[in-house]
Amino acid sequence: MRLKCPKFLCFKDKAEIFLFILASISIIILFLIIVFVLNEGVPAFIELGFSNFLFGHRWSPYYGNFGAFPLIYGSILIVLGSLAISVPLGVFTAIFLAEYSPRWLSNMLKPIIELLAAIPSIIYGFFGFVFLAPKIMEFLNVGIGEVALTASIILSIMTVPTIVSISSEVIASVPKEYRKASLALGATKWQTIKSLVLPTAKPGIIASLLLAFGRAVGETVAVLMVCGCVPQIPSPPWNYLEPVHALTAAIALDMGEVSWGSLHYHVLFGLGVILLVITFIVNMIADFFIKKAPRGVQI
Amino acid sequence: MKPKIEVENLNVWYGANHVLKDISMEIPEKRVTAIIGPSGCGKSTFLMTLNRLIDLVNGVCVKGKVLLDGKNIYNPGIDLTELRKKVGMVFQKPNPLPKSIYENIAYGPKIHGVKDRKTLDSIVEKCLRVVGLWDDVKDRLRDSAFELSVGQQQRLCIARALAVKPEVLLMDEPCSALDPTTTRKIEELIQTLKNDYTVVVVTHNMQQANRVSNYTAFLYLGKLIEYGPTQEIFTNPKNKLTKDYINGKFG
Repeated sequence: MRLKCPKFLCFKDKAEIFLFILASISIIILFLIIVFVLNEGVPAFIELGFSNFLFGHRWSPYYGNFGAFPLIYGSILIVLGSLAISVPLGVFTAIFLAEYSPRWLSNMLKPIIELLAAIPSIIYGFFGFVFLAPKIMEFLNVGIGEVALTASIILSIMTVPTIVSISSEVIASVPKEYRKASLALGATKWQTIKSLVLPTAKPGIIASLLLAFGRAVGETVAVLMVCGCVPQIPSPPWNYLEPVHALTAAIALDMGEVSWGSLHYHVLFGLGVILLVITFIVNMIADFFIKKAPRGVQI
Repeated sequence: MKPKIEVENLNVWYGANHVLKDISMEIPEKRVTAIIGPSGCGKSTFLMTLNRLIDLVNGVCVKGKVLLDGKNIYNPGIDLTELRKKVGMVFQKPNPLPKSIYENIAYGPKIHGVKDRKTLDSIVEKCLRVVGLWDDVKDRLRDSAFELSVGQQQRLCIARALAVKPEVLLMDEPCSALDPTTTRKIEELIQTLKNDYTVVVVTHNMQQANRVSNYTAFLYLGKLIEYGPTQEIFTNPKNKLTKDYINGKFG
């Protein structure tokens, strides 16, 4: 018996219906969340004015100052700092594991590195707060250890495993035929990696960086514990040795105390909207790079 | 006849498996030498010993000498980059790189330090002309190499090997993945290549060996059974095994 339905809903068997329903549920849930966040967040933009909210320099919600710029800046500063550490570290570790280390060593190291990704973020936050922050205070001779640099280091430790495990898989999956062709032309191993293997693996590596970025920008508890939570723009603006505040941390800190439906409440959702937009933009940029090289084919 | 490559008492083991046994032969310069024999007889392994691509195989052990222009390529001080630049290789399955047609040819020269755009352009054009691909692809050099047909891909791979100006060209069953028409084109190409290159071609197709080669070596179970001018091997083989193989009694 054929089910009567529009063409794209013509299912061949029951499994297909089942899978379609499950897929629809997750998409609908995602869609509802976005609608909900927008619905609660947009009033903040309307009431405060778009640019006042986005570019206002003062964040002191209990005095009615809702300038989100220090939070946006703090988030970006922390995340860029963490990527500056985790991208080279992660990619080169992945190259080592996939290309150079003996099999027994990579078989031993990979599960350990993947385990790092499974540690709850509160543990990282705790480690940063109790161990790393005092060390930074001591060695870099600053007044307070909870600064942007501390948060960046903690975030980089958290994101390296993602980069390493995905990138090394992708690098290792570049076909042997390609490598043979390159070596037979007289290329050294490193030349083969640099001019052939990495360009071929590029879309996958970018995907891993994207996941790392997503985890870093969305990380809350660990950042909250080590970034200092001071909503300011450091001077000079690239000074990593001053405390900052982050979008996620601000939402988490204030959420328990706002009164339902107040401006503050809507502002916190507004911060959520900003986070969504940031991840969305980064996703699109990464997509562009991945699509530029379909199926690992590139010029 | 001046030998380009001299193989002396070459033995190869994969672990405990003795795959090449005491092979000695001279491969003449600017001629086509065919290696024939049933599958698993060590033909491809033999070919890989000539540019030391066999080094990539885990647990391999090579004993004996392979002299290229009188110099043993298994000497400890040998420069693998130099060796493989001189001894190019074409594989059984066409393996274009995941790059454009242009970049496939330019890859080798770039690796060896050619940066000038004009030089690269002329190398690309020259090599594509040699393999008879230029007119087909000159308007789409920036397209992916995967968009070519399989036969074109194999010719592209030959052009890629020629781009680093090798002296020897090793071909490992270059036509086994191709249809008869394309095979004939590649065979004609091999005929023209021998004017400038020393060609060693592995094949399980005896008619092909007969058509393209000047010399033929028959390998069986890792041993060199018979080696000589192709004409003699096919019309008047001295060894009974060779005769039986050529007459199709086993394969």
